[in-house]
Amino acid sequence: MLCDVCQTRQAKIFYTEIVNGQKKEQHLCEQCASEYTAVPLNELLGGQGLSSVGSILSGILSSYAKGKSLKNDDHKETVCPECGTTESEFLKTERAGCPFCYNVFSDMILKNFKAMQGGMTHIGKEPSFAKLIEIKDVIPVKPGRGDMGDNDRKITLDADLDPSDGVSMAKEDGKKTAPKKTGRLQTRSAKISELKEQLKEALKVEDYELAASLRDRIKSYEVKNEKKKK
Amino acid sequence: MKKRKNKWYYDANAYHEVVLSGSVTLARNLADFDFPAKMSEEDAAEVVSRVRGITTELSAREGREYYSCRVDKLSNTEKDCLIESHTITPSLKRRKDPAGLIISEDESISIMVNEDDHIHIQATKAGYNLRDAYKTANRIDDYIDSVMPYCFSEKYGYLTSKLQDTGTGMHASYLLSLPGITMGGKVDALQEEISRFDVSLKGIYGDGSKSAGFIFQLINRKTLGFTENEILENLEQVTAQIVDIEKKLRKGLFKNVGTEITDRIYRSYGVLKYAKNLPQKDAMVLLAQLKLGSDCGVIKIKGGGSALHRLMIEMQPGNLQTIYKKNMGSAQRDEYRAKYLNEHLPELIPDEDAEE
Repeated sequence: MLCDVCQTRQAKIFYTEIVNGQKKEQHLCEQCASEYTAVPLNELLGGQGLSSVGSILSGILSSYAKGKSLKNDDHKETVCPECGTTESEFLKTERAGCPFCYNVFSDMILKNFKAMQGGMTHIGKEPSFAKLIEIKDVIPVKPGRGDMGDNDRKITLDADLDPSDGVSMAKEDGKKTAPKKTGRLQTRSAKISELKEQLKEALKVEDYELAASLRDRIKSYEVKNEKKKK
Repeated sequence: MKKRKNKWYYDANAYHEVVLSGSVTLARNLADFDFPAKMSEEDAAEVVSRVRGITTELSAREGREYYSCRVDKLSNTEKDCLIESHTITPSLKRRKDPAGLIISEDESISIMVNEDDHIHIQATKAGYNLRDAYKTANRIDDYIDSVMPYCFSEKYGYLTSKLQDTGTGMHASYLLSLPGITMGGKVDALQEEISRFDVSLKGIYGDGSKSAGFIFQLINRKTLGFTENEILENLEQVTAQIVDIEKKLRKGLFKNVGTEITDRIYRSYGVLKYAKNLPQKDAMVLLAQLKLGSDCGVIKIKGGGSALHRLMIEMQPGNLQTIYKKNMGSAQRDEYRAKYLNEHLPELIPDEDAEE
């Protein structure tokens, strides 16, 4: 079907407008739709700097959610116990309400990052003092391996809500105290062997996508370890 | 808020005919608070006052004056003013809960508190210079990091509210003036081409491929899986190519439709100088055409393109109402805009050699 406005491009968007009870339907292509629904110039002035890249990136998670709800009908909505962000809210806005959301909605976040980001691991700047938030690894549920999704989620939640576990406080006051380097190194080495185990597992079930991301993470941990040793 | 004098966009030495400015934003969150969208009002106020608390120390360290304020307590005109010079974002303006701002005297550095995240450090430089902007933002980030703990994950880096900021939390952008590419009808093609490089190009005064004033923002789309340096390098490489294309197309324009363009440029000057009613969109287009003429040496204006870029900012509603110290409706603004441009349009420099 061709666009009602330009009559040249393929119509992809069905735009229904209801003004004073009058329903008006239009079939528009993406270009014409964006013009048709454009905000006046004044509203857009100064959209620079932090302007949201979000508008073009949305949609990935919502389609994921649809597939999920189809799979099991009695699916209960997940809610972040820390900030109260609900699953549907998260899917709609693609925004975390607090650091814990990254664990609560980890499988969806993984999905989003895979599609939208340049990698699965941070390799840039690290703060000298920070509250470290541990984020669990999500192993996608494969048919034949049993449904471990919900169990998986519960375990991490418990772990994360215990302040003594998974979260290490590096500093409090303004002065630079020696960072707990060894502590972090140990966790890193432990992490590496843990990841290697997962890598083996992933190769066994021939999930090469996961394997590649694990390989990258192992590599980045090893590089970080090297750096810290120097 | 205090009256500010020299602003970053006055810097005529840094002027570049295609790249208006470069800017780097770092998104950070403090540990122990929910992200701004989910914070209680008390927590929001607490974060604002904590971050504002560094203002004096920051001034001393950076060797320049910084001011801080509660953004939610500013008037709409004051906020619009800051948005027009790209010092704050429209979403900070819309926040009802406590939000804060620390800015340098020239507005080139701003720390927004409780925008999408607790802290957005933004540094802007006039002209073709992203590295300096990054260095500044990074230095301020290091300082804040040393006085309050950020929330960070070894896996995902800096945790942010929006998933498209996670990782480095960094968005680097260039503001580009692209009359050649726009008039040559190449914006759509360029936008498509460019998405392969993980950056996006969009008009900031209008929608999508149309931008009054031919001004576009080029910004990195991905923040996770790259180092800060890689993000900057990538953006620089894409920018260098766009600058080349733009220059070529500008030359092409004058070669093919030179008389028509030259006429448009002189007409723009005439209208800006004498028209008595100038809506913003018209004024933006006219100034941009004049800037094209000045950049290509067709018309010589005192202060050159830099002076015109400054007028593009000052003729916008917030600035205009601040300059004339009164609230105006849009019809009245169009009259005052014309008055302001009539009076402040730089003089032409007569050039004997060019005319035969």
